[in-house]
Amino acid sequence: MAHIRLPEGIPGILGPMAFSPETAKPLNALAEVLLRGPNSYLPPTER
Amino acid sequence: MPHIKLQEGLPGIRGLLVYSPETAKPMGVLAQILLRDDHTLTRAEREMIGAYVSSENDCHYCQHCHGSTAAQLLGGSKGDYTLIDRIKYDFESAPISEKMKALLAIAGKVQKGGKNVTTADVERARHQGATDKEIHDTVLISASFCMFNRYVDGLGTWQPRDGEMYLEIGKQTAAQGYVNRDLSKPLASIATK
Repeated sequence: MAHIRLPEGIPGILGPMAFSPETAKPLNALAEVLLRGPNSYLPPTER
Repeated sequence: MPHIKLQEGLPGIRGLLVYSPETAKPMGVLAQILLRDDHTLTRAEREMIGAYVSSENDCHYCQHCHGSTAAQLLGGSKGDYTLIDRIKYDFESAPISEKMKALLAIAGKVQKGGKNVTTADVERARHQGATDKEIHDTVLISASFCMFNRYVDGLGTWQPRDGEMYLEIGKQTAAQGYVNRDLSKPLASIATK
């Protein structure tokens, strides 16, 4: 069971992100730049 | 010397944020929400968590920047700086609330690895009145600082031992927060040397 009350049936980081949409936004924005950003020569699968 | 070529004269994460503005943007927004929201935990308490985790990660730059920011938010006296040192050294014996001690204990567990957090740790915090939101923010502040600390140390950034610089950064960050800052301008405490 999660340590805090998270929306049920949502696995992993998606639970905390649903609990806290304000912080989910910059976390997703960072992941987008790092893992899918257009400015790197590394293809997404290598990141 | 840093492991990659960064603008000279910019200490710690500042050189990295200027080097990579695309990643700097969401990091700044994240720090702003986690550290400047004073909904229930105060800004000073949030900075204390960041300073403590950075100290546990042995990141010189981050622990002194955020320790100084926390002290400035408390008033900036010598006693405020001493309090931050006491928290880093042994928060359980520091003159802070029992709730903050319980949250710092959780932050310390997360710093060693998320699975270290136990039901007993969370119960202790709840018993002292901590809410789900405060426990959530504590865990995310700790996790985020582990990222910032590794970012700063992993690229071998310049981390001066000069106390005056951290005083300036503490004052600046306490006043301005983490978004819409021009970090490419050299700090006065460095420029005058």
